[in-house]
Amino acid sequence: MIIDAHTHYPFAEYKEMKDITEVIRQAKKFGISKLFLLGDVFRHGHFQNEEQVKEINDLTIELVKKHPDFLVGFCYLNPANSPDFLVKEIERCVVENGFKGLKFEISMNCRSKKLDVVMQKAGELGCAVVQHSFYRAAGRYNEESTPADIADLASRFPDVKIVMPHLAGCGMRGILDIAGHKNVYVDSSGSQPVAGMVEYAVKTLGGDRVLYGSDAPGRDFSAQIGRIYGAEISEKDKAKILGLNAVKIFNLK
Amino acid sequence: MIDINTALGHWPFMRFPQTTPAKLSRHLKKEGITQALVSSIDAIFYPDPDVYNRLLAASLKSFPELLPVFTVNPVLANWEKIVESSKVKTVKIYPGYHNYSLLSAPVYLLAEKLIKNKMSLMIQMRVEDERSHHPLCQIPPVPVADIVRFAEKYPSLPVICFCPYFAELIPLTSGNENVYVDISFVEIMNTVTRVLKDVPAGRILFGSHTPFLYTRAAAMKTEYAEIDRKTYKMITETNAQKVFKLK
Repeated sequence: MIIDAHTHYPFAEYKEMKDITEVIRQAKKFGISKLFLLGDVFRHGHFQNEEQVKEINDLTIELVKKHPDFLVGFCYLNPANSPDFLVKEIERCVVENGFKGLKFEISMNCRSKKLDVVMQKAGELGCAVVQHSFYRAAGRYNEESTPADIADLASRFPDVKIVMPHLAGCGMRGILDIAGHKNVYVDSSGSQPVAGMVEYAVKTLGGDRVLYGSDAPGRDFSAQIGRIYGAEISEKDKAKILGLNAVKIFNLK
Repeated sequence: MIDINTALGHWPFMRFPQTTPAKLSRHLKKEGITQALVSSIDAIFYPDPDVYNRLLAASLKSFPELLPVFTVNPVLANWEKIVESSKVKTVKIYPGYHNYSLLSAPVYLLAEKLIKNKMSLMIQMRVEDERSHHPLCQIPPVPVADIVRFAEKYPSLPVICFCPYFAELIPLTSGNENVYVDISFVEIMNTVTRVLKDVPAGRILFGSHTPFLYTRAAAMKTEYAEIDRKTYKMITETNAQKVFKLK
């Protein structure tokens, strides 16, 4: 079983893939049985208003309804929107439409107290949160969260499961930042398949806290799965990373 | 498969398991790679790259499947000696790391020498994703526009670009038939199939960028490509044989 815990569709920068059935066909070539759809997070730039957030989630709802066995929906949110809207949107996506988690991108740094309302709601519903994170040599976005920011969020909400995406982008420093926070997991999505990072994450966090993700369609399943297959870790840990951990963290059936 | 992009040595920001030619050879064979062009990682930072070129060549003597690629810094006085001593018909340059422009007199002299010797030129555009460089060691990539102008100036010199991104492929290859690219850093959905829409098969070369990247990742890009057998063989074998005059 392979679950890709990090994909986007539609994807603002990748206009060529006009039909999600092509993404699904590609995924199946690699034995992937589920794609987590985190939304078209840059569809309306970095700071979306409430209508724009709803539109992003409407698209995800529509796609998940068309492919319920293959796609798993995630509720995209801009925590800067009004608390009332955020709670209602979570209920619409998670309670009414069966989405499995929440997704925050770069519209607000996760140290902000404005995240409290969504984190409390996530805790109440028992759903996990995927918070974008990266350590950049240069050109960091104003509100972009780093792994240290995620560690802060995790300490404020120790009962909410948080996935920190982009293993190679967060680097060893990022892994060290979150290591002490048992409610934080890392996904392998994006960047080049930098050698040694999967081994380092498994050694530092344990095989239960690492998830496979691709960031497709901007990335390719081949190279992204290749980094897991190519890692010098046990077959047991590979199986956990490729799907078993996702089932557990996101309460999949 | 022939892997045109592998290396041996030490890198301050990473720790590699393939620390010896024997380990590299075993690792590559496991991935179906039967021949590889290998450069020295230490030659990038060491003040005289030829010291590490020699060490590399000596260490690979008992490994005929691993061919040493010499690093040249055309600004240094020994560049010509390195070119003459190379048994493989190519040399590699690192304009970003060695801090010179591709469009400069020393590189022009190097190009003329390589043409005379019927050799090709490898240009390392980057070694790592710029976003993840050490904050105090940010090395600029080789500008695509410089490579295009350089290749235009020397149409009889095969220029092989290492580690370009997907978005750089079209500007690199559309104008000059002497420009080739390796696939190690290229990534987009269904990578190789997609690249072939814009880049002729004869200009794409299999490179894994081992040990910096997982070799399996590059191997899977070609294994899962939706291409015919002939195109697969070109990308993974015959293009390299042709460009580098390998047997």
